[in-house]
Amino acid sequence: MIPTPFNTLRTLALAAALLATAGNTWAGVARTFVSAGGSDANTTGNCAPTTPCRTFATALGVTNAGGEIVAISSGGYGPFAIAQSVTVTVPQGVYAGISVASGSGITIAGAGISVTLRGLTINGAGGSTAISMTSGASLSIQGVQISNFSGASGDAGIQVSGATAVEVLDSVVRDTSCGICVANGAALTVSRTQFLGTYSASGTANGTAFSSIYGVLVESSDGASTTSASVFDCFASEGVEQAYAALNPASGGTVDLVVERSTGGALGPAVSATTGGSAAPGAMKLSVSHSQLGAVSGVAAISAAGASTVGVADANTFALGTGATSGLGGQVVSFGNNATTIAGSGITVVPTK
Amino acid sequence: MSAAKAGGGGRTTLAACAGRALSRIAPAIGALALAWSATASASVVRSFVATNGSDSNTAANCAPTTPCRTFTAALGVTAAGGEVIALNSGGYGPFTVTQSATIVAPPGVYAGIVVASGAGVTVNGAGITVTLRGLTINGTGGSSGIAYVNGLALNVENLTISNFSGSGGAGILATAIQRTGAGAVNASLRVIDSVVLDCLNGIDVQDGPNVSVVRTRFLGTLAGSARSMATGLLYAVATESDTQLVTVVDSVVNDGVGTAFSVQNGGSGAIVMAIDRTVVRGGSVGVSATGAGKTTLTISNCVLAGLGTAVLSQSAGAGPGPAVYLNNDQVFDDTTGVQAAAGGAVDSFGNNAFGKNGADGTATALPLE
Repeated sequence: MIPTPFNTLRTLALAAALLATAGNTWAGVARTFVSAGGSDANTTGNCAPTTPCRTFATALGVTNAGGEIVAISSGGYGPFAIAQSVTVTVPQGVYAGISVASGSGITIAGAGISVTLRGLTINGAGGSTAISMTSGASLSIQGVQISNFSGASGDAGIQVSGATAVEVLDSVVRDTSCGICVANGAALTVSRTQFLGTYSASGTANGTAFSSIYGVLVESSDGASTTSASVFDCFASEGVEQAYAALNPASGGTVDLVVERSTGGALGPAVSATTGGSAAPGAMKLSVSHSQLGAVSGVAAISAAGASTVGVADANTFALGTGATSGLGGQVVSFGNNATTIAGSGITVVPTK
Repeated sequence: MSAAKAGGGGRTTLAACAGRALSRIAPAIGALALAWSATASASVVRSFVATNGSDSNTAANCAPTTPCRTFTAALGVTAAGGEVIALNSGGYGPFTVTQSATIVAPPGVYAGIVVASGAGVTVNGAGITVTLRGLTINGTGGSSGIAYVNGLALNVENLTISNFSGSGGAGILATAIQRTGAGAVNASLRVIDSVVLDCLNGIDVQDGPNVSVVRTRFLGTLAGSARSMATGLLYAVATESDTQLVTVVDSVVNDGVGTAFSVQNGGSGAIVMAIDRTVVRGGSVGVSATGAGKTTLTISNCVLAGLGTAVLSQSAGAGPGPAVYLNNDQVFDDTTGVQAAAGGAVDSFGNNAFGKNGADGTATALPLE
């Protein structure tokens, strides 16, 4: 670094910051490390790269708010809870697994916090949720693998409730009842993510024929909030019953769902707007474009119920089932540029401009 | 951690015993200890392999600090639904999976499997779900990279499979997947972010599972007029009576592959196939749909260029035969654009670009909706 006056000032500021944190050795470093050969007794050395800790939970205890925890060797690191802003990173070349025997793998709650999770592998072994967030400002999930949360219909891969901005990127969710569930004010963006489920008519663990009931579920159930999701470049296999779904049983709130350049459906609706059986459902606005939406016999590629409007543009609905249907008060709007191998019903056509 | 997990079941049972008479507890503990030691060899949720590992480390459950040497040994100590991870780069040898499991080589680790004979990875267990991630499988005389013999689902992610180009050779061979009656079990093969090089048939499915192919490349070698690959994805049905689903998205097939996608329905069930955002360049046939069985095939947002025939739809004998739908495709520089023969149908939504073909061929016009 060239010792310009500015840099000198910055160095002084850094030194002051270091002094300020020196007295607080158990929660004072910006970056901590965990390793399969580490020890949680190394909190006395602040989980330094040469004296790493063994678990994320322990390393978190000596990491500053807004700091980072880095896994430096492959191994299992166990479930943990986050109540501060932090980035948990597993660099390429390292495998950091979290097996979830019960409850949640990673539990996140903290007013105003921002959490980033990168490169983790979370595998259910009886647990109900891989990542659960109930409060906080933002959650970013990148390159995370989630599998096997399908023991009950309410199990989930990523579950966020509350006014949180959620980003999911380059991830895979396999055999999980609800892949990504956001509710009550959350704003989700999910891109380049795969949802993989299996279908078995004899039933799966969660009591349905599908190991994955939803790929993405965006829901407003509090009768007040606007919950939204944007899905880009995603893929849901045929064993995901409802690839991209909106649910709003309570009037007052709004659900927005945008699906672009994505694939899904075949055995269940690729895109659905449902009311949960409510007699007074809330508003739902969906837009589907440039997407590949399949359906087999008797299944709608797009289904709209309740106070919902689904706009469909430049999409390709294929196969043996219904192209798109609107029923129970919902409305499907086609812009007249969709290719479908079988016609839907109750569709309103609006010309492009 | 792994050892603690192994003991978990024992502790639960002990707790359940707490209310019993003391005299009954001691023998129960003894029995539990015996039961535990007997099952310790298949009880961890995660095991590890390394080139400097040893298969005698199964005694320590192939822990990250005491890894095993082969996937076979590690799988033996891994609970159903668990994971096996390669810690460093090296060769790990062919193996067979008979339980639900995930086998992972993380990015930065090269885990190679050289296949001198037979299959590199054999997946064979009723109802199991298997994920293979990051492996490199190379043929040196073997017949297939992966043999999917039985199982509910097989996920193939970030794999490279090469050189299964001998007679009957396949990158992934899926045959005779058990279905217990119509619709009872739809087995599923997903191939994502993978590369298949120089295999006679890249993915060869014979009365097999539903198939999804996402962001995968099929790359053969063209030498003179000889191609190292006959077919990218071959989906053949002879007897199946259930509906079967095939989806291909964001994939690429090069000029070393004779027929990029071939679907042959000789069964009584329907095949529903979609090919989207995929580029096929320079083979003899782009998409071939044949057989008397009902096949509904949509080709959307694709490029089919430099081919002998871009799209061939041909029935065989009595039966509904294939119907192929073209939506927003580029059919360019082909000797023949579309060819509907002997009962096969080709429909166009009127938004396809045909250019520089010897003959565009004729498709039935369908309106967009």
